[in-house]
Amino acid sequence: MNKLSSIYSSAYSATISIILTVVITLGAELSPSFKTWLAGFTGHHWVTKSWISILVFIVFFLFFKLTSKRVDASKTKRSICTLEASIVLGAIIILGFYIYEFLKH
Amino acid sequence: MDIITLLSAKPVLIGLHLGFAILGIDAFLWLLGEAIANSGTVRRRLIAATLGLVGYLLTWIIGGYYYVKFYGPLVKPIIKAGNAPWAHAIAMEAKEHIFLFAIPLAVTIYFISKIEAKELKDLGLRKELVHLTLIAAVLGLSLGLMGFVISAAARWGAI
Repeated sequence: MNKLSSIYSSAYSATISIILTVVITLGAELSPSFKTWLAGFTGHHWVTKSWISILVFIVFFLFFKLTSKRVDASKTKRSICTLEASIVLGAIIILGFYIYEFLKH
Repeated sequence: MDIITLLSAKPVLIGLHLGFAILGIDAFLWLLGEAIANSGTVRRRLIAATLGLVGYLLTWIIGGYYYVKFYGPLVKPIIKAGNAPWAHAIAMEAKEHIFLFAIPLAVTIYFISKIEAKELKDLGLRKELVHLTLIAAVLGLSLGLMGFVISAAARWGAI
């Protein structure tokens, strides 16, 4: 079913985009040279992260859409649950990291 | 004053950022109600999901422009020098990065909303739509709360 395939592709590409956003965010805070490198592309590290998150989402969406065969309800449900977990965990990790960094200094 | 100058004025940008965020949150709360009650046509759900997606997209672009152009050079130094520097170090840093989750999430909700209510229930995906939409609304409300704390720190942090 085409609609399920779109949901499945969107949920997994969103999960990958979120995981990458978390990794890049923490990496940039822990490595000033990486943050400067990110800023070098657009003039601001956050703008570069924004572009990365959207481009990764689009690229993986197209990848999953083109390569995923026979997506059923069970697979779709699993992809959505994975997305839910990545959002909750990602938000906790980012918030927890900045609280820790603030209290550390 | 031309329209571009008016729209790029700091108070107008903040107003538009907040306004579109409220539009997005309200649309997802509307969709959440439809999903919980298992009611509404696909057309109605798609209108709610589209409004949510467009609201989050516009608040991201407008807020991002304000953040890069004005917040960094003008507001951030005031908060960091005030008595609530944590408002930037924790709330703003978390807000600007967690927000990047919102658009892929809203797009996924849009795709789920294209399925009829009965079919969604038969596929066992109604609960997933409820959970994702609830997350989208709570995410928006949490980021809004952080925005309020940041604004309050800039306004009252030095007093």
